[in-house]
Amino acid sequence: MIETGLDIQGVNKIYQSKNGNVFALDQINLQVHSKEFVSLLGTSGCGKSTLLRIICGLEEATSGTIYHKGRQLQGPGPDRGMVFQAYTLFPWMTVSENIQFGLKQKHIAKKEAKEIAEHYIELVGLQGFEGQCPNSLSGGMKQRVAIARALANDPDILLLDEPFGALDMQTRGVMQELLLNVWQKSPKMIVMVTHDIEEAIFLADRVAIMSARPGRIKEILDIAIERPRDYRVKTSQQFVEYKERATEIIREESMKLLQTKILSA
Amino acid sequence: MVNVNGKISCAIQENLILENRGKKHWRYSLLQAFIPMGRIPKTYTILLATAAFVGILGLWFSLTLLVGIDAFFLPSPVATLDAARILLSDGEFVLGVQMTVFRVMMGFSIAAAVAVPMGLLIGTYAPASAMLEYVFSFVRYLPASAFIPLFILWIGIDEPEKIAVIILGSLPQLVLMVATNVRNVPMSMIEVSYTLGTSKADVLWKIILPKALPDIVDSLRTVLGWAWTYIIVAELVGASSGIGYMIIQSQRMMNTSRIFVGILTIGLIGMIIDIAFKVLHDYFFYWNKEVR
Repeated sequence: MIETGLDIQGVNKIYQSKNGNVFALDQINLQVHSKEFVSLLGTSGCGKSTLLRIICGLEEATSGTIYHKGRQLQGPGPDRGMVFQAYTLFPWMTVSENIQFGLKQKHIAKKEAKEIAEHYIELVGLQGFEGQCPNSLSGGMKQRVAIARALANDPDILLLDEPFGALDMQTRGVMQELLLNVWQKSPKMIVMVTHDIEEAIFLADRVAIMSARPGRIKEILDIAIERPRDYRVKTSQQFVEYKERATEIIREESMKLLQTKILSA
Repeated sequence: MVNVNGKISCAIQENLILENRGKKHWRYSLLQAFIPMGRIPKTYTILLATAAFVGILGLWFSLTLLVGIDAFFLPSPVATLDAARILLSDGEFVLGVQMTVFRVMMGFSIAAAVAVPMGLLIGTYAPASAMLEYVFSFVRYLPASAFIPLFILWIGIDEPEKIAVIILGSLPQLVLMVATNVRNVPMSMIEVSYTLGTSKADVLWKIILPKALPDIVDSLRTVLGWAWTYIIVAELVGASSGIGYMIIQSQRMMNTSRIFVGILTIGLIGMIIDIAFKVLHDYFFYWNKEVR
């Protein structure tokens, strides 16, 4: 067991359905070090979001344990910040109040909370929007606030569940770079779920590729692309090779899934 | 909860967007403004709303003055206005209106004070829902007006009886509507609050209530409208004051125009309450508007 990072040991998740048990997650073992960026990549239905929700404490594993800094995790808590794909800003609060929400729960002094919020607003480039309400922001801006809100709380782990999934391609690219920039300036362990191969490789130190039915980690790619990275990396030879490798594995999986669906139909 | 700067900048942005939208629509004629879910400029709104009332008034005029329906069945607008003037000059009617408003507000306030917390609990906690939801589904269908004789038997013909009718008529409806409002709060919003350090006990006050509040206020507005229909029924039986009492008295005297005054007064009060709710809604829940 590692003492500093996140240690996922033999996590299973079994759902009961009308057609018998569904193995959403089957014997997941994964270690993530502090300040490491890991992407969970896979087709829809491979259990990657379920795994993230279990790490977050929003769902319970059927069996297996997750340790963080040597302590067993149980239930959600402010040590693990989460950004969802759906927009989850509190609409009755301004941008600044949203970011201060977690700090208020910790009873941090108003002045200090405001300063922290200002810092993160600057970090995600939303100066001038502090007093806006979320419903007047674009999707990309909303997710920037969501990231700032999660980070302002200073969690040990930042969990991202397809945070850019609802954004258009261009905005998504910009947000990926912004996330890397933010991460560089305030390094944290990040576990991110995505089905976007490019996104997974571009951002992460390691990409855990998952297979579906049962949900397993099939392969872990070490991404040795130098940092800091920017959008130009995406066209480099090295990047393309990683992409090819990941695509092959994912394709194999998708084909297998398709086959079983055809057979069962 | 919201700083002033935020409110102003939001309002400005909202106005800009509306203004732009309005300008865009000005290029359409009134007929072309029939865009599904589209918006129209305020001038159109006022124009069309006024036209509807003028239309109703016109129909009323022509039925009574041109077609010549007997005033006993349908009094003319002029006769109705006359009756209103007489009624208003005699203080009793004004007192009656006050009485009715008091009864509705009293009954409705008690119902809301009980129903909102109860609806919050039922919508939030499965055990509360399991225990109470079916009870209220059952009670909701009990006709409040049929309880009038029972209430008279149990608590007499004074104010508590009228108020009890209002409570029975509005409380169960409100409980179930508030529960539905609460269930519309997105789960992800609750989950994210956990990851920001909110406890399970606090989530009701910190997330669910503020998020559901605009919808709850909408439910209150709807149910208040129903409360008004119950009070009149309650006042038709065993009352000695109120709009309903005046209506039943006028029926005995076969004074149709006075019945009209009573009915129109209720409509007017209802409309004022609705507008007040809308203004308050726009003022307090400006943040809830999705900018499309």
